[in-house]
Amino acid sequence: MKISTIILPLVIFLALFFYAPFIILGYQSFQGLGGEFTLDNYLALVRDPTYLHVILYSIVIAVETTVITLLLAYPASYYVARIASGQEKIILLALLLTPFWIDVLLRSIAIKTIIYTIGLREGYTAMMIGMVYEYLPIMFLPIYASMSRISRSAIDAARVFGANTWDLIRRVIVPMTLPGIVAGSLLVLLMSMTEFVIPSLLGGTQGFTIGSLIYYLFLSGGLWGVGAALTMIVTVMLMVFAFIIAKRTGDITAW
Amino acid sequence: MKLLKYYTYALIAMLYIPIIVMILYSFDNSKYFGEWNGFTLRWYEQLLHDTQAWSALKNSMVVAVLSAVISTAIAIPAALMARDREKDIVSLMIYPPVIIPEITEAVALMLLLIYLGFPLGLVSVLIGHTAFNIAYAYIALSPVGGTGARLAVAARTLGADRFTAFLKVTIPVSMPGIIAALGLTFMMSFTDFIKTLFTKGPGFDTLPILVWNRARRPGLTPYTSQPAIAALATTLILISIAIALAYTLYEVRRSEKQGEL
Amino acid sequence: MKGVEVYVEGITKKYGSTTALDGVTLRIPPSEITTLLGPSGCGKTTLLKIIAGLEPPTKGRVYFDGRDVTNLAPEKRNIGFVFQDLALFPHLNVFENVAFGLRVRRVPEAEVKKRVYWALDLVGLDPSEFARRRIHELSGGQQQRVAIARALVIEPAVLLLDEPFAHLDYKIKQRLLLQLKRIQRETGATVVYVTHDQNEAMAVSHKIAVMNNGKILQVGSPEEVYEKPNSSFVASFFGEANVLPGEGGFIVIRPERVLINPDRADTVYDAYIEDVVFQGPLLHIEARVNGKIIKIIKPRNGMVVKPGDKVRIGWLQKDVRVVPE
Repeated sequence: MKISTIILPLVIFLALFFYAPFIILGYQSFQGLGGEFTLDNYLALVRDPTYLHVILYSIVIAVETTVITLLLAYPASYYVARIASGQEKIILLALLLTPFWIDVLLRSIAIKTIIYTIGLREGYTAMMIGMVYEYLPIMFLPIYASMSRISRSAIDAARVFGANTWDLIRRVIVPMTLPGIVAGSLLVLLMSMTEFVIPSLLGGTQGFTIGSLIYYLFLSGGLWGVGAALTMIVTVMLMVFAFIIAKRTGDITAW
Repeated sequence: MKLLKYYTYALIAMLYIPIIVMILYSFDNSKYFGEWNGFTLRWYEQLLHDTQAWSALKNSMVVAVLSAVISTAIAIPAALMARDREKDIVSLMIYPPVIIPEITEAVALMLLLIYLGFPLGLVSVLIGHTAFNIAYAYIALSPVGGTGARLAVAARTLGADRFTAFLKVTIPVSMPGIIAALGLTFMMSFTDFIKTLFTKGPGFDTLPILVWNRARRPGLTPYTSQPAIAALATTLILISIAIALAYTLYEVRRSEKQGEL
Repeated sequence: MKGVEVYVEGITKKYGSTTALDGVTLRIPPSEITTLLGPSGCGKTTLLKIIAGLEPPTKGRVYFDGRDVTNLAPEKRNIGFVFQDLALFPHLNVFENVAFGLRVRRVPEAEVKKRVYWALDLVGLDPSEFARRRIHELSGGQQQRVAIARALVIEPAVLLLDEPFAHLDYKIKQRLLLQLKRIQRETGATVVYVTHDQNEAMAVSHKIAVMNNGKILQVGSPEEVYEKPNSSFVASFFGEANVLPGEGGFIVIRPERVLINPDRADTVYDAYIEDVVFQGPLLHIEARVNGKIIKIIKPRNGMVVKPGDKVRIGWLQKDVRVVPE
């Protein structure tokens, strides 16, 4: 296919500095210590209980973060999308969006001050507080968007036909916000699984996750082969996951 | 319903309490978080004479400005002039940089640079930031892309050649989108930590890297005492919020103007 | 099914400083179709929502069969409502949309199925074909029917319809209007129908309430309102009318009552024919009298006039109605 000169700079730059690196990464992941082709790097991740433990541990943290932020964000998104109006809604939205502009690093330090103030120290609880704090706005936005899309008359209809508040939530609001729930959960799950800063700064001895492992393997341990294999697995897994969910949510939103 | 309102307010307050507490601690005449020894400005005074911080700020600014300009310049022709089929290719290419976790693309780029024997420092960090910023610039530009292209066609029916139409019509019409793209990419780069960490090499520190280094080893020197870190972080947050506010105000004014039209 | 009598008394509804309804009192007879007719913004939809309990009135009461329901929640009023945008649930299929009101009433499964099928049959949708369909797979007219079936399945005390056919094309609209009349006859429900379209109102109503600016101007059968409008607004909004200044206010004369070259008339003017438009079996004629346009409608057979003709027009005093404003 002929690619015109107009998009050429973009295509070349991304090919060179985004896609080529992943080819190198893939190549590296099959390199043995002596430069020979090997599968050992991948096998090491499964065989070595330390690696496996870190991977499973990261998944547990990500799932917990997803569930907690979903439960916390859902009622608030209903309030902001459907009850708040005018000035109040704009201010609430602005307040929910502003944290996006403050880097996770700075917010982790802010969480640290709170942790110390309430007498806690770095550890699992501190890390989970930091994770929830970081990912709450990310969970909020897609749910808020789908909540806003429910038409006023759909809710009126449910009421008129006899739905009490519980029926309304269970039979109308939750099913109709399902695309937002799926999108928000997916985003948070994928992003939190490789979170590096929060576990490192707040997790203390409990803060060794996939992100930390990648950092360690490359920058401290020098185990590039295993590091590359781990990074490849994470990347491929997340791409496949994202693809499947994008297709599923596509189906759901095809109303 | 009242309950829901209080809940929402409380939840949003929780997003800000840590930041407010941190700002308070940056005025704390103590060495650790969690104890209050009276008000002081000394952590900020110390910051004024902190040569490492100043040099990191300079590095951050240079990388952020250059990366914003380069990524926007690369994204402009693709976002504003490309035909539909070309846009399909571009959309396909910018999707992964947005969804792939930053740490994996940072590691991959680092590997490539090392394989090529490329020296790690300002330029490598700049390349790393630009690689993800192109996607964001393209996304920020796409809303104005359609209008610019349609008006450029109109200009060409009036006799302008392709280049003139682009320069005299597409660019001015797309200015709001271009400014949005510059603002967004500047912020992404200025606050970026992970990509910088893997591509910077020794000796080249940006502000987030400095914060990280000091936060990792707290309490060893006056610069790494906890309130000193809080003061540095507070300064960075204020810069971020100032830029974000300017950007938001600009966007609001712009949408209000469009509303009037 | 026996419909209830709805009585709204002194209903006022204010949004901030604007008044949507201004002291409306109306008796809606049981087991008939009553139409609220008026231009957009006249308050007809607001009145419907107040009857349904979806909006609280600022002042006034709502009674169902003499029982005060003003403060009753909408879900407790046993209402069928067909929304302007239909408000079908996109996440549910046709069957579950119709079943919604039964499910939240905890009706047993076998009964649900029986009644959903009954409602779908009633609106002319074959259950075996449509029950499992998704909403977005249906045509506009089919979606309308699902919305009506959903409202009927709960055997509502009152069926409220808010411009349900506004977005449909003419033929489908006619068919659905006839179907609505039949359904009302068969079920005996009290129906309140909101529309801005006088043709729909004429086709469907037992009784029409003409509204403007938050007030009810006139209530009566379609014939009454047409023959005896009580204001120039009602005369012009419900059917075509010539409204001319006269003694004690205005005189109203319907276009089909204007005579051309009459042998006998109480009032006669000299006129020029300005325009003649064929509308199927009818001719729509515009005649100019002293600089004023008079609309005339005549059957086509035998009538030979063309633009520029000089004629005499006139009418009988019994066909003229005098209104104060």
